[in-house]
Amino acid sequence: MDPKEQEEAINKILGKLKALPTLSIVVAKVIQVVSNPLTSASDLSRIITVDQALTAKVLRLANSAFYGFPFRIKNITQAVSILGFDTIRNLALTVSVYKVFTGENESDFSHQDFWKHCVGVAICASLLAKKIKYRSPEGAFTAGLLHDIGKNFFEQFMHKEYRDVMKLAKERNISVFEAEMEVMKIDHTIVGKMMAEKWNLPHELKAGIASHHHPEQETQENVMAHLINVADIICKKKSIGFSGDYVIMPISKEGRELFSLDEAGEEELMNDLDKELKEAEAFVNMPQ
Amino acid sequence: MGQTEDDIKEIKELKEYTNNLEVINEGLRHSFEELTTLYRLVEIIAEAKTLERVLNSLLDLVAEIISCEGAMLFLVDEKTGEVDIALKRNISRKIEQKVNLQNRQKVIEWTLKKGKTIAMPDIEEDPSDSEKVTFVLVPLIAHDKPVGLIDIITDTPEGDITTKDLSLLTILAKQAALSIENVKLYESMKRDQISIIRALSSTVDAKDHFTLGHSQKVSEYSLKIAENMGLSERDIETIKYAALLHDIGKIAIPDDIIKKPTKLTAEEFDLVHKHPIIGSMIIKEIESLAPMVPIILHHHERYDGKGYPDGLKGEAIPVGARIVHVTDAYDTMVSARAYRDMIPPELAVSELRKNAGTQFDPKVVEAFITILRKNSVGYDGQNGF
Repeated sequence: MDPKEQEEAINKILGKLKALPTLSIVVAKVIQVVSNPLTSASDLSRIITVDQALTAKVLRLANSAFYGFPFRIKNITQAVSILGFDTIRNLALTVSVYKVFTGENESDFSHQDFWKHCVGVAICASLLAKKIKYRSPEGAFTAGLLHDIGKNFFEQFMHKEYRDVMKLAKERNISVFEAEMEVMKIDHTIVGKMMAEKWNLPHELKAGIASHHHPEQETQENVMAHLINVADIICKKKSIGFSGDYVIMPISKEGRELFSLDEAGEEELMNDLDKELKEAEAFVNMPQ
Repeated sequence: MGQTEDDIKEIKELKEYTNNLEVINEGLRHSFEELTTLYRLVEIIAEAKTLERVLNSLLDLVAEIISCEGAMLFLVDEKTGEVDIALKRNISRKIEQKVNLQNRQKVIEWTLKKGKTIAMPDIEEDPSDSEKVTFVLVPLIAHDKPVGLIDIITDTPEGDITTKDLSLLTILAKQAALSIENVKLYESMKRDQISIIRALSSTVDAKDHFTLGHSQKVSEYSLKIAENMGLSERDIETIKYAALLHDIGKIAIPDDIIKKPTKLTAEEFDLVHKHPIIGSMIIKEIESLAPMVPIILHHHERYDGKGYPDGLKGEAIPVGARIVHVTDAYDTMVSARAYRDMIPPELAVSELRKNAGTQFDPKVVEAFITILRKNSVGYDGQNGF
């Protein structure tokens, strides 16, 4: 490939990335405040309730069947006290990230199916995280929801080119990842990584977004990279939603070992995934 | 002049640097104190030996982490999976009513299922109720299995509870759950052990209807004597169960000898005299019963050294064996045997007294007589406590 041509293509994308809106200042504050152990539920609530739309969406998710709390959660303070600081931080984060991508709906891969894939990966990653007692199943869930934000970027801001990517992947039976490199000269994990940097997302989330196709490249948050990698493959195998890929990679040896996934383990995981997915409707419908 | 300006700048930077260091230092000191508290709490929980003590110290310690007006402890029933209240601390009727609100059970189930520590607002809708409290629910989970739950009633509004509070409680609960599991396991092993002892003991007594209940009586008397003599808790327990097993060796002796109504031949006597050795050999096979072996082996030794099997004398005979020797003799005298009628208790007591110092340890005989008098048992012919 002509290096000059590649540079041009990348520069074009970088320009568009620069123009990407920032995440709300509210979310930036939320991320900062939650990392302080002396933060109380009221502190967090004061920050979130400044943004009414965000407050409403977080409360809707907090009251969804996915969390299944037996009482109505009336306000953000209660939501934090009951679901936990991390959950609320991640809900706020997810809602804000997806706010950037609402609007356009004409596309080759339907938003609904794409979303379903992301929710599937989120649930699967958190199940795997719990299985190995990973420090933050919440983080795994959020990283799962966000792992393909690079695709959202392409879809929204380079719609025409991304149609070619999808067509190419289907015709030549190659992975979306490869097709992206061929058409856009850059793939969705690199774009996702740049977005994560621009938005100052916590490092563990960035790792899930940037390295889910090559977990071995991530050193600091290697487990997270493997979590999203394996969860992504499982959801593709099980056809949960649609990520644009017709090519399904096998689960790596490292991944199988890390999560003790033999045939029986995989089946058990898939059953649990089915159960939880039924309750996660609210997440699939979130962008609307 | 430039020099001075630089100096001022430098001093300013230094000051800022020191301030930063102080903030960091303060933070470190804080974390260190927290770790120390946590370590101490976890240690107390880990060392509690009975379920009651684990649960009680858990409720004591919770109050060191969060202001606590009262608390309740629930345990999950292993068989039914139901959650039942196990311990209450300062729970007023009003709080109890709040807790019993119908949906409460669902919240507890939810918390156990999710394994999450949560703070619940008071859901009482009554506007005249000014005493709002917060319920902090901390699940107790051991080996991925819910064991129980602490429900802490605090006057801290749910919004003021920090991440730190919740995570300290969660860590404490984790240790408590493991301790509860350990203690339960220990207690169930203990129960099994006692059942085995009782089963073994009744097999001997059942060989001869004259001796039905004999081991049980000897055990009850021996326990009282051991307590009266001020022995350690552990020794008392060993003596109580060794007394139940003292004649276990008789399993190996043919029924017709045991039930024989006439005098035994010298050969038969030799065989009967082997029962302490046989008994100690049987019990030695059960590792956890090892402390009882010397008592079983020596319960026919006489204080003056003329007993069997080893002819031990005085204090060389284990104290448990000296006790069982007295109670065994007494209960045998006051019960009917195949070869004779029962002897009245008064006569049996004077027999003990007469042989104190020769056959029996005088201190044991004295303790036994004190007990018999105090309970005025043995004199009414019922010889029961």
